[in-house]
Amino acid sequence: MSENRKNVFIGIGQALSAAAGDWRKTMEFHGEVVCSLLMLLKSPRKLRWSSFFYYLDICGVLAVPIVVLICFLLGATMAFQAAIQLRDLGASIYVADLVGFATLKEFGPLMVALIATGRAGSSFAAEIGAMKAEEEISALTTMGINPVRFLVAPKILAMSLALPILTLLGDIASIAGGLLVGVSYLDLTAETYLSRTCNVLSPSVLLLGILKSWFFGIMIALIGCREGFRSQPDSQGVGRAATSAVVRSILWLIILDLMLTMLYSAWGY
Amino acid sequence: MLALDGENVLQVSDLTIGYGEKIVLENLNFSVRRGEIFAIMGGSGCGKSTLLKHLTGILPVMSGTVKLFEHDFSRGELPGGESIAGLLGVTYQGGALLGSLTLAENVALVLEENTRWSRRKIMTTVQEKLAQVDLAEFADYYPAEISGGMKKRAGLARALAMDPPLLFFDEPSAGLDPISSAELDRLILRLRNDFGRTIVIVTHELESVFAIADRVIMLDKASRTIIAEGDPRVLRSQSDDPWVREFLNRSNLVFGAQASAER
Repeated sequence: MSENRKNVFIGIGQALSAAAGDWRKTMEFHGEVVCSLLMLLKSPRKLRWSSFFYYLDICGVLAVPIVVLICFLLGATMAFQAAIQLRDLGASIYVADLVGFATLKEFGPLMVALIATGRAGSSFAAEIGAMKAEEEISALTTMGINPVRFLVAPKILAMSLALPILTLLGDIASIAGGLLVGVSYLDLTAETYLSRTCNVLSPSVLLLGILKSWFFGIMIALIGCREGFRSQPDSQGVGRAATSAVVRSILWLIILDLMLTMLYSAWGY
Repeated sequence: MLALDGENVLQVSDLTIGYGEKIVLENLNFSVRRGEIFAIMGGSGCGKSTLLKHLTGILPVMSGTVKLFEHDFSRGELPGGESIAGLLGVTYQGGALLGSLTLAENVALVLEENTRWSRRKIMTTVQEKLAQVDLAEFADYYPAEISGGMKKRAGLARALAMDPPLLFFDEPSAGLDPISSAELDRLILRLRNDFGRTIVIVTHELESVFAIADRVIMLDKASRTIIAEGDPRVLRSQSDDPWVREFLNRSNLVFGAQASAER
């Protein structure tokens, strides 16, 4: 076997070995997170509530304006695109169906999750990465404090509460965007548009979308924190961790979204 | 509560440490006696800070054992899941204070997480510890608002919070002016003389070592192990290894470069 070919095989082997090691560490991290959450369930006193409310504010309250704006614009854009096609067919009223379904089932949770990835996921990775570089994580360990419970649990809990609420607000904003287009461009009355929306959308559609966003929130927090913990302890490492958190979160969001959509379809939703 | 028996506070036997598959130091054997100031020295990149991470349980050892007060600590855990905060305290190069908390909150954190004390008792202890390092007036300051030397002292106050019998210092003098460095040395001596604490220092500051250390070990990057152990003042003149004498005397830099190249 030639030397070059040998090197290729060695390279593949090393890459696979590194990937397996990384996968194992990720699983260990997830296991630690689950243990920490179970422990907090048993004694909620151990949760740093000040951190929880801080992240709820950062990831939830402060994200409201941008979430509402983007979802409103997205709803209006969807309505415009649908209106162009449906008006010629004399089916303008179905714009309400399309915007409502698309928002509640898919675009609402996904768009809010993408915004949260850019805001929270990257900031979690950068924060933990910087703490690692400054030896704060090591200090926590030597203070007898589990860094995962201390740093990750408040973020996961805050995200799992913030994202469903943000998604609900995003859904409302998106429907409002569609309504604006329906009223101003399709000459529908607000009452007609809203009653059509209410008629076609069942509470279960809304709840399943919110449930999706709950999963998304946990996943974004997990990936952001994990990337922070696996970062190199220097300034470049922190930057790379933030980038990696966003890229990985987007990829896994799409994959999880597909899986949940298939699951919902199998259940008949 | 764990028993704190034995003459040796820290006992290291046949220790091999590293990252992943990569060995940094091997065949390490040494012990730290109760009440002594013990320094770990060596050139840059020889693995001093890595050794500290293994001794304080941040990283698991590759092989060998680390015993704290006769209890196995090789995996970074104490028997019965006992918290290490009551046994050892660590101060880091940059202080490693949590940036989102004030100095008082940083010190209080250790107590909140490891005791069931009342808020009042915690705050009294916090004030006491900050006063010990002359930072009582800065209790409400954030780490970003104080100097490097103050950060180190605040880190020390936090390490002292649980009154651990064993203290580790990672490069305590690094980045400090000579006066602040000497003040910190006096503080370390006071902790040993007045409070009977055992102290392990990772450093390459010779002045500090000669001023306060009872014993040192010298680590060597090339051989990846300990090349000298003993009283630094004796090793300076009587070590068998010329590199150790050169290092401790910091003399003849041209010869030093040659000796280092030969190693």
